[in-house]
Amino acid sequence: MVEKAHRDAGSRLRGVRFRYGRAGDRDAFELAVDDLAIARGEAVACIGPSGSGKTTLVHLAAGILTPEEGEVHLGGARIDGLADEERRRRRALGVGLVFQEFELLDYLSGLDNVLLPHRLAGAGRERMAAARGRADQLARTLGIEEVLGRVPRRMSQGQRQRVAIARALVTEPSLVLCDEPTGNLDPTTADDVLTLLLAEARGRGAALLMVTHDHSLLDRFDRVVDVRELGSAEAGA
Amino acid sequence: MSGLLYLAWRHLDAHRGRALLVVSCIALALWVPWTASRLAARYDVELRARAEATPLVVGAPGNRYDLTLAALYFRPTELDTVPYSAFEALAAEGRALCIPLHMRFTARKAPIVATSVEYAEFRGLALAEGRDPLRIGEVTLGAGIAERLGLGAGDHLFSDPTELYDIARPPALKMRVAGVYAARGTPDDDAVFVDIRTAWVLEGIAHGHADTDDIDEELVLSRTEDSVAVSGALIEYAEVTAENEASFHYHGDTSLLPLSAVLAVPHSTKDATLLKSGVNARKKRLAVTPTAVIDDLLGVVFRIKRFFDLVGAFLVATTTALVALVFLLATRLRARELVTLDRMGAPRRAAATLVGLEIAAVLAVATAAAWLMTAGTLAVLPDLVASF
Repeated sequence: MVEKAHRDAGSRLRGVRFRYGRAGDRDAFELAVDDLAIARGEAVACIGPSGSGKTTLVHLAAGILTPEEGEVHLGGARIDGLADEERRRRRALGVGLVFQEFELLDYLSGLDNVLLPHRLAGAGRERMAAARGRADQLARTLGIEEVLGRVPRRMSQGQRQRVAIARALVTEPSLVLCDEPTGNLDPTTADDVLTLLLAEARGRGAALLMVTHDHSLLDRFDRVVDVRELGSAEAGA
Repeated sequence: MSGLLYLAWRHLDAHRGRALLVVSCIALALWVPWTASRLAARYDVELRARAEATPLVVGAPGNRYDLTLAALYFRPTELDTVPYSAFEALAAEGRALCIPLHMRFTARKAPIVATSVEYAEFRGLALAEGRDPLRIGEVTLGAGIAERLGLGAGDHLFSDPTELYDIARPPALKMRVAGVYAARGTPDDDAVFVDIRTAWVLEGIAHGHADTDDIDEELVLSRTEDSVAVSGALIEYAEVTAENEASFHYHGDTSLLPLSAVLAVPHSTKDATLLKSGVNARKKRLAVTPTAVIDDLLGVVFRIKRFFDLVGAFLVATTTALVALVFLLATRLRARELVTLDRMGAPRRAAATLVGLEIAAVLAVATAAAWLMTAGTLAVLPDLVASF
């Protein structure tokens, strides 16, 4: 039963310990995660004060950082022990990332930004054609068809974030990680964007972990975890 | 890699103004030393080739550089002349084929080279049309000047007047184009060749006019049994025609008629040595070996070139440093983008590869541009030796 749950998990961190700095240093910091599993189709919000380790948690789940102890699973496979290049390859296609500042490449069109993960993974012509089809479908769903030909500076904030969401979902990842994706948006746009993000992630069977400071949004998630409590016996509320 | 290539291309395309500026800087920095180097090499080859083809030049004592540059490249200069008798004496020694040269005049700014028919054979000048300038008042044009002036056999060409306001000097001579030589890529292409006697007509030493028996008696100042003195108002012929050619004549001793130089082609090395040492020992003339003069001259040129090579190297080094700074600053500006790519799972060396690809593309385009600019410069420059 545990193994089945493990396979079904979009992401799982178990017995993880991660430290910044040396013990005794004033800036030293430790993040502990006893067991955090996010199933496919599940949306989890992560809260906690600034500096409590929310972004570190996201980076550990994505395989950007590797823990000193513990296991990190992505789409049912353990990734913490993999070679760096292999972790990068799995991240490019298995993890969708949405950032607070959108982080779109300013010299690429909306469409090229959406297709970026496939380019980074070295997709061939056929895979790019298929990705193009998914990008068009996502664009229709997210209402950004008209801005696909524009560069980011000619888009509104809401359009940029929706392009970023399309970029995160175009590889049909098993895990979508969002770091304050609505932090730079006005409340109405933030609500729209969140609705679309949750609907698309759930509809595509992706596990979603979102870091947020906005407590008014928490009702929309299946679960809310406080990063400070992940190292205690109970992970999640 | 193809994905990174695409990103590199799109980044360059989005910042094409900056990229073009960097490409221009690199291309210019490469173009200057490349062009200078190629030009120097071409000068070296072409100048030496003509010097090596000319064993000995004899002229009036003076500057050996002026003598060589005038005799080989028709460079305008005020050379002292040697008398025609010097040419006859050299020829009489029987040690060399001697070719007279006189180069004091121009036609439409092109040097008029007065010589004998042996000159064309010596320089390997083949006729593209017409014939050699065998008669007084006839010219055969080099290929370059014929093309520039749009002249061919049967056309006419005026000599440039030497003194517009001095009525004592001969007027411009109307000369008939007898032929055109094929192009050789040498100074001969831009010269106007005439028979040596035509030069003396241009000098005013030889002239033609109506028979003194047929002219108005008012122009006759005195008349004796063996001579007639006429007024300066008697008009000399300004064109040599079949009808008036016989009337052209010299006054005075023909052995004193002037020459700029004599080209000597000795029959053997021994003849060359004896001829040169004999001429120089008498001290009335100067015999020079053009290769030695050109070697001297190029020695100076190449010493200067070494300085320019150093300047070129400094220019390239400075440009390299500035371009490196531009890319370093541009990469710093892209730090956030490169971090995003890293987080999204780009290969470990993606950032370095991306920047490297852009640098490689810029360098490739700049190198190609510099190569094209160098080739273009060399192609549009007038023939170097001809304009030396």
